[in-house]
Amino acid sequence: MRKLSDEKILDLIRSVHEPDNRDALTYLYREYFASVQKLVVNNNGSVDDAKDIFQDGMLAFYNQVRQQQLNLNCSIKTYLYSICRHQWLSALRKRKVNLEINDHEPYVEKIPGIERAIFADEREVLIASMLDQIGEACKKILLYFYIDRYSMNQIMELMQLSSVPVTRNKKMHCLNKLKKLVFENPVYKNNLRD
Amino acid sequence: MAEHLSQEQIDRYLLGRLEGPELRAFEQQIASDPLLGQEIERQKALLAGMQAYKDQEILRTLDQIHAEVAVETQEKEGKVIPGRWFLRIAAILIVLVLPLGWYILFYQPLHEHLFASYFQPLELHLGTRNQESPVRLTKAGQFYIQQEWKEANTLFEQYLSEHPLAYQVKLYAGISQMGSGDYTEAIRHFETILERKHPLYADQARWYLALLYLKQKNLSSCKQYLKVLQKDPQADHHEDAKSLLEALER
Repeated sequence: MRKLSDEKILDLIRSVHEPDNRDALTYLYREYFASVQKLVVNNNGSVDDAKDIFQDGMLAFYNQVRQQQLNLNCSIKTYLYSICRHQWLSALRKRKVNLEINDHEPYVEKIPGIERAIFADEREVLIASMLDQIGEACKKILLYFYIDRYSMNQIMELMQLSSVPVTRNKKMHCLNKLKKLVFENPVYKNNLRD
Repeated sequence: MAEHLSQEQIDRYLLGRLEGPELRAFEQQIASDPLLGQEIERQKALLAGMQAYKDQEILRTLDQIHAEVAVETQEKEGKVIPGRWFLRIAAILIVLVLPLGWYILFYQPLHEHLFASYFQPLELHLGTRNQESPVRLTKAGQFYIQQEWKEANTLFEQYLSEHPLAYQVKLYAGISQMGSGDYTEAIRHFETILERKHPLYADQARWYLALLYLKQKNLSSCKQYLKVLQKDPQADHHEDAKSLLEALER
């Protein structure tokens, strides 16, 4: 298969077209999973550990690129390996096993912004489940705006809405719908509110 | 909470788009207005929930990809039959049936002869570990390797009906249809990949389309696809396209 440059991979991840995002993930998986698997399996881990670590690393990398929080000073290969190495070290620390890692790839020590917990807490899970109850269009608009960080113009085009003000109103309406659903939910009110 | 404060300002704050004096002024406002502070906390919670939703979506996609992508180590473990076998088997067959082959070729029209010489099923790269649809894809892969095209294709199509964006599987489905002689469906798959200008599989789709048209004796369409591959030295099948074009010109 044809090699993609790092620049092209980043373009595909940043694209507003979902198939492009998927292509980039597929490519990264094919190219770099084996290396991370080798890292984990050679350092007290199993093949399943490798899959989890790699997918968590890919998710962190993907979110950083999409949310423009990535300052890449090395190749994507080195960066992904470094994220996964970092995650694997954390996992080993939790398991209280040997922290000496045998590396077979170059890596960078400091990776800012990946400390965020990958697993959602109970409150986040509840809110996530509410997203499925506000309708497909509303869910998409909110995710496009708050998570993908698309502009109103881009959202207008993706959702085939008539104008930016219409899009803005629709987004506001959807946000209020979600707020009502979440904050008036008894489980949230009684157990999960800070 | 100040009435004039717009959702737009809150959004800019939450998305980290306020800077310098504007950010400081907003933070002061939050500190001095408990209602605003409460609203910000509520909306931060919503954002965290949305991020959790999106993360789960991406992890599901990664699980699907895991089933589709070749993993070198799995190949080493023997879970996927390495595609090099195709070449070895082909080489053995060529040696064993050479005398008969010469006889058949003598009567074969040129385009049939060229098709037979150039058509090789693409080396299979499909992972075997997946939580959602491992069995179907693995079985499809086994049928594909054994060149049991109809069985492979049925399973590839079932997988595609659930995962219409799995372009790699689409490519294998197209090749299986080529193998079983269903050229119209094969063309449809390859053209979908080309329409998407898929960065990984477009060259492969172009190559197999060229072969399909060669098989159907539509030489102008065949050459049209070959010329695209010939022009790009980085393209998959660049050398194959060059030599096939030369053969056709002769």
